[in-house]
Amino acid sequence: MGPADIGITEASDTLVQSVDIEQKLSEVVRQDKDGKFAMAQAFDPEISGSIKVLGTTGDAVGGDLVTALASVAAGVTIVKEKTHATTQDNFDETDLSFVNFPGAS
Amino acid sequence: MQTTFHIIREEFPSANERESRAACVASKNTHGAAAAHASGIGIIDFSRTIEDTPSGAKTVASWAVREGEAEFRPDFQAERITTGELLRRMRDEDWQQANPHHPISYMAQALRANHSLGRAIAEKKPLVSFKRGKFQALLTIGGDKEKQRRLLTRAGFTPTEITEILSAL
Repeated sequence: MGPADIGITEASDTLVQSVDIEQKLSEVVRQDKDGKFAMAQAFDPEISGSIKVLGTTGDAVGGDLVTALASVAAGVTIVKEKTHATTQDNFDETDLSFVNFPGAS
Repeated sequence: MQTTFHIIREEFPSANERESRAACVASKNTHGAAAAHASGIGIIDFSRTIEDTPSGAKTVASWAVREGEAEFRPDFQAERITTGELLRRMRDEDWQQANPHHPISYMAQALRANHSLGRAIAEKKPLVSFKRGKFQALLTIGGDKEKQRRLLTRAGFTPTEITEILSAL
């Protein structure tokens, strides 16, 4: 087992162009002993978002995606969609949409 | 296709390249990622970024591990063995393959993974963060200056600022 097969890639110059995130909190509405609604309790924060990164043309993945993603989405993160394109001015552009559960274990 | 990551972030107060590299290699998160790898869960990547903040420079490290399940099926008899036998089993990969669910095999795999991961982390160049408005440029130390100049220009840095940044990298 060596460095090449343990999953670490080379660092890549990256420009994070935009980050859009929206945080949601699930709520549980409890009933008190008389059956009346009691205080809602928020738990399990969930962050939906998208991130757009630019790398220079020829980068394998259009920039250092994990670094860009880690800056906003630590915890369990589902990358729902990833698109990759070369722009007219020769940058590699990658768009990721994700859902992040920062409190998940 | 969806991919599920498990991302861990850790901040270190030092922005010194050598100190932060050593701290990342020694981090319990490196041990955890190595244990995941030894348990059959792939490591997606690691990164180390040096950031300048109003409260001073710091290093932010992140480990991305594939989200999954590890299965442990301990299968061994309680036993007492000599130091010599313990050392022999730790060296003997044939014995470990024949006894994959013995704690000595787990230890040997985890230690090898930690060594490989620590070496890969130490060899990976850090990134340095430069912010301008909504843009964040993450540039490698010793990277391709022309590529970096293009990214900094796109982010809106002036030619003078770009020259200063590139001379510092």
